[in-house]
Amino acid sequence: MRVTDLGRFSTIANNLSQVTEKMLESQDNISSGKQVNKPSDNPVGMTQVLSYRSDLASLSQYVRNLDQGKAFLSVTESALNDMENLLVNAKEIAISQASGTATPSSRQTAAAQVENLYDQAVATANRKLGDRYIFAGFKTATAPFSSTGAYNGDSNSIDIQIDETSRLAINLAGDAVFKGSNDLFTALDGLRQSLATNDSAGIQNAMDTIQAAHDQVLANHTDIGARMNRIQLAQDNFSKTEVDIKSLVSNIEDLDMTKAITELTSRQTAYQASLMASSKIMQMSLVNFLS
Amino acid sequence: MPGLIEALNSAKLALSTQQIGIQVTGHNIANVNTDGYSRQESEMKTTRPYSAEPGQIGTGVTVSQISRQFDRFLQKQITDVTSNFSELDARNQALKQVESTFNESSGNGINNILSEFWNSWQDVANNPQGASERVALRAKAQDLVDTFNRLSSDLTQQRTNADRNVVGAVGEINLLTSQIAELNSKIAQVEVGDQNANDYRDQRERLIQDLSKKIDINYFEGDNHMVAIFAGQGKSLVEGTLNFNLSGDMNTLGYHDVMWENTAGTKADVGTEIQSGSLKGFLDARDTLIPKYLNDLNELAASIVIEVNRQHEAGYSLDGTTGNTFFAPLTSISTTTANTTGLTTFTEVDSGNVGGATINTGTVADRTLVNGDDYEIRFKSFLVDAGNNTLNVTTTNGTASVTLTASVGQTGAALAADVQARLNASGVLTGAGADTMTVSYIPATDTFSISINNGKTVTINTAASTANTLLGFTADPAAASSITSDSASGNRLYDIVNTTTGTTLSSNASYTSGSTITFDGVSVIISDGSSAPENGDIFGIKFTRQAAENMSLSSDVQGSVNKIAAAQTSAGVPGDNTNALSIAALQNSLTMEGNQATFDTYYNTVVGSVGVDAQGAQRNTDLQQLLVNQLQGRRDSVSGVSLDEELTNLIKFQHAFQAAAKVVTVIDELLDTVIKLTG
Repeated sequence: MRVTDLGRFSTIANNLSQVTEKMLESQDNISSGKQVNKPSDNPVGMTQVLSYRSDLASLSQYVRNLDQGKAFLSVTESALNDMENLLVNAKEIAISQASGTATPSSRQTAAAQVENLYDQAVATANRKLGDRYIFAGFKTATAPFSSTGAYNGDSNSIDIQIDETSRLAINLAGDAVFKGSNDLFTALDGLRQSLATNDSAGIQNAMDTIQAAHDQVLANHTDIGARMNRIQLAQDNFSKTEVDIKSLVSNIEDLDMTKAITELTSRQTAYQASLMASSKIMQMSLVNFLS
Repeated sequence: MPGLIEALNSAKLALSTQQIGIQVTGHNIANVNTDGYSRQESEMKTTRPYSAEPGQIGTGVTVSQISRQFDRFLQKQITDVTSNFSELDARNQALKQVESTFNESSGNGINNILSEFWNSWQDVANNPQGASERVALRAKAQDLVDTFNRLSSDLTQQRTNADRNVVGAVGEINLLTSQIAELNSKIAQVEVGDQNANDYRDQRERLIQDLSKKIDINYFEGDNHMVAIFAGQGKSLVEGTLNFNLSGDMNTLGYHDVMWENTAGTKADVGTEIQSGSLKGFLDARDTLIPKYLNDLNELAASIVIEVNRQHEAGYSLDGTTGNTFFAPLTSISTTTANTTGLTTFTEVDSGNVGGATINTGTVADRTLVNGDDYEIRFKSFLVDAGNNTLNVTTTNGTASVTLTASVGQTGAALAADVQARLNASGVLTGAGADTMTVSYIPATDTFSISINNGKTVTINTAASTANTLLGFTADPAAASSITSDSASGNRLYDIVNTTTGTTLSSNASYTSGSTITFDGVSVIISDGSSAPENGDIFGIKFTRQAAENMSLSSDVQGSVNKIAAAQTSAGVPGDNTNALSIAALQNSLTMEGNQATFDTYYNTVVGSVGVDAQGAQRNTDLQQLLVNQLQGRRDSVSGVSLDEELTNLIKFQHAFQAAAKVVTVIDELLDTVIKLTG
C-alpha cells in the first residue's frame, strides 16, 4: 500500500487523540471518584441509583417522622406519668382520710389538697408540645379540657408515616384516657366533695373510682410504651437498611480507585509510547538525506 | 532523414518534457497538505518516429496528459459514509445536550427535588399547624416548579438551536450547490479541449464531499463532464450549470420546514425525504428526539399537577376553606363546572385537516376520571346511512341503467365491494362487450375510484356535499356510463385514541355535528364549521401541552401558606394531617403510564432512556468515524502525495534533464565541428 504524508500524519493525529481521550476519561473518573458521571455511562445503573436515592431520601424522612413521633409520645408519656403520680397521691389521701383517725377538719384540709390535685390534673391533661395540645385529637389549637373537666377535643388519631405503607398513631385522645367509663375528673371531684362533706362512705367509694381511673391511665401508658418500642425498632431497621442501600449505590456509582489508577498509569504509558513513536516517524523523510 | 538537427530537436523535447515532469512534481509537493488534493502525474510517451534506413528512428518524448490519481468508487463510498457519519454526529451532539439537561449525577435534578417535595408534605403532616413546615413545603414546591420550568426551557432552547442548525445547513447546502454548478461550467469549458481539469475536479469532489456532510446525495457525471446531484429521494440539487436552492420556511410551530423549489418556482416540503447528513440529524433532533423528552417531561408535570391538585382540592386549609388548588391549573381556559379547577384541557385542530370542522375548548365532566393524558379524535371514512344509500348507474348509450341500494351502516370499503359485486351481477355493462368494471374505495381521500379495463378511471368524491351526481362516463360503451348517488354525505366515523398510552378508547364511533363527545372524564364538542370533518382529520385534546413550561404554584398557595390543605375535615381542626398524608402518599401511587408507574419510576425510566439513547448515539458515531477514517485512509493511499516518492521523481527528472542538456552540448560541439569543416 502507498503510504502518503497526509495519510501518515492524520493516522498519527487520530491515534494520539484516541489515546488522549482514554487518558482524560480515566482522569475524569478519578477526580470525581465516580464511574457513573452521566446517564450514558451506565443507563441501567443510573436508573437504579436514582431509585435508590429516592429510597434514601424517603428513609431519612421516615426517620425524621419517627423522631417527631417519639417527641410527641415522650411528652405524652411524661404527662401520663404525672397523672398517675397525681392519682396515687389522691388515693393516698383518700386512704388516710378513710381511717377512723381522720377528723372533719383534717378532711377539710385534704379536700383543699384534692382540689389542688384536680387543678393539676386539668393542667396535665392540657399538656402541650410546642403549640400543640397533645390530648386534643385534631383540635390541637384549643385546650381539650375545661376547668370543670369537660372535653373539648375530638377522638381523631394523629398518624405519622413510618414506612411506605404503614402509619402509626402518635396521640391519645384525652377523653378516652382521662374520661370514658372511668372519668378521673369525676373521681377526683367525688373525693373532694366527700372529704368536704365528711362523707366516709363517699371517701371509700372514691378510692375505688380513683383506682379505676388510675388503671385506665396506666393501660394507655402501656400502649404508649408499646408504640415507643415500635418506633425504636423501626429506627434500628432503617439505619441497617440505609447502610445496605448506600453500599448498593456505592457499588454502582463509586470508582474502584486502585483499578482506576492502574488503568490511568497504563494509559499514560501508552500515551508516552505513542508520542515517542510518532516523533520518530514524523522526522523520517527522504528530504533529510538529500543535499 | 537522420541528422544532427533531428537529434537536437529530440533533446529539446526531452528538456521541456522533463521540465513539465518537474513542474508537476513541484505542484504535488506544494499540495502535500491540501485536503482533497489528488496527486497528479505527467504521462510521457514517445513522439512519432519516422522511417529511414536502416529502420524507424524515434523523434523524442512528449507529455500525453497530466492525469489525476483518483478512485471514483472509493469517493462514492466516502460520500455515503460521510453522510451517515454527519447525521449520527449531529444526533450525538443533540443527545449530549439533552443528557446534560437530565443529568442527575450531581443530585440537583428532578429526582432529588421530587423526593424533597414529598418529604415536605410529610413534615407538614408531622406538624400540620406549624407555619414553618408550610413555608418550607411552599419553598420546595417552588423549587420543583422552577426545576420543571428550567428543564422545559432548556429543551425548548435546544430545539430552537437545532432549528437554527437546520437553517444554517440549508444555507450551506445552497452555497455548496452553487459553487459546484460553477465548477461544472469551468470543468466543461476546460475539458472540451481534451484537457484534464484536475484541480477543478479536486475542488468539485471536495465540495461534493462537503455537501454529503449536510445531506444525503446521489451524483453522477454526465458526458458533458458536469455532475448531476440529487438529494435523497431524487430532488435535483445540481443539474449542469444550474443549482436548485433549498429554503427554510417558517411553519405554524415557529420552526423551519426544508423546502425545495423547482424551476417553475413551486415549493415542496422535502423534510421527510432527507435520509442522512447533518441536516437529517438536526431535523431528527428538532422534530423527534427533543420533543420526545419534552413530552415525557410535560406528562410528568401534568400528572403531578393533576394528582396533587385533585387531592389538595378535596382537603381543607387551615382557614377552613376547601377546593383550593396547590398548583396553578394547567392552562387558563375557563370552565363552567365548579369542581374542575386545576383540570383544564387544551384542544387543537391538526394543521393538516382537510375539513373545516372545529372543536370547542372542552370541559372536564368528571374530575375523578381525568388522568392527564393526551388524546386524539381521528376521523375515518363515512358510513352509509339510511336515506343516503342508493347509487344509480346509467350507461349513456342508453342500453341499461340500474339503481343499487347499499346496506345501511356499511363502510366505504365494504360499499365499494358491494357495488362492484352488484354491478357485475346486474349485467349493466353487457352492452360494453367484454369490458369489466372495478370499484374501489380509497380511504386516504375518502373517494371511490371506478376503473374500466380500457384504462379509463373516474373518481367520485363523496365528500362534496353538492355532488349528487357522482360519476359521468364520457365515451361509449366501454366507458359510456354514469353512476349517480344520493349518498353524498354519510355518517362519518371516528376513533378516540389515548396518544400517551397508545390505547384506542373508542372505535368507529358515529359523528354528529355539535353533539358532545365524552371520554375519560373529558367532554368536547366537534361541529361542522365551513365543512364537515374529512377522513384523516385529527382533533387533539391535550392535558400535557407545555405543562412543564407553564407549571407554577396557585395564587392561593402563593398568597398564604394557610391555604395549604393538610386537613380532611372542615374548620377548627388544625391538627388534622390526613390530607397531607394522602398527598405525601402520592409519591408511591401508581399514577403514571396507565397506573403502571409512580412519578419516580417514570422519571427514572426517562433518564435511563436518555442514557441509553446517548450511549447508543456515541457508539454509532464512533463506529462510523472509524469507517470514515478507514476510507479516508484508502483515499489518501490512492490520491495522497508521498514526499519520498515526489523527491525520487524529482531526482529522476533532474537526471533526465541533465542528460538531455548533455545531448544538446554534444550536438552543439558536433555542429561546431561541421561548421568549421565547411568554413
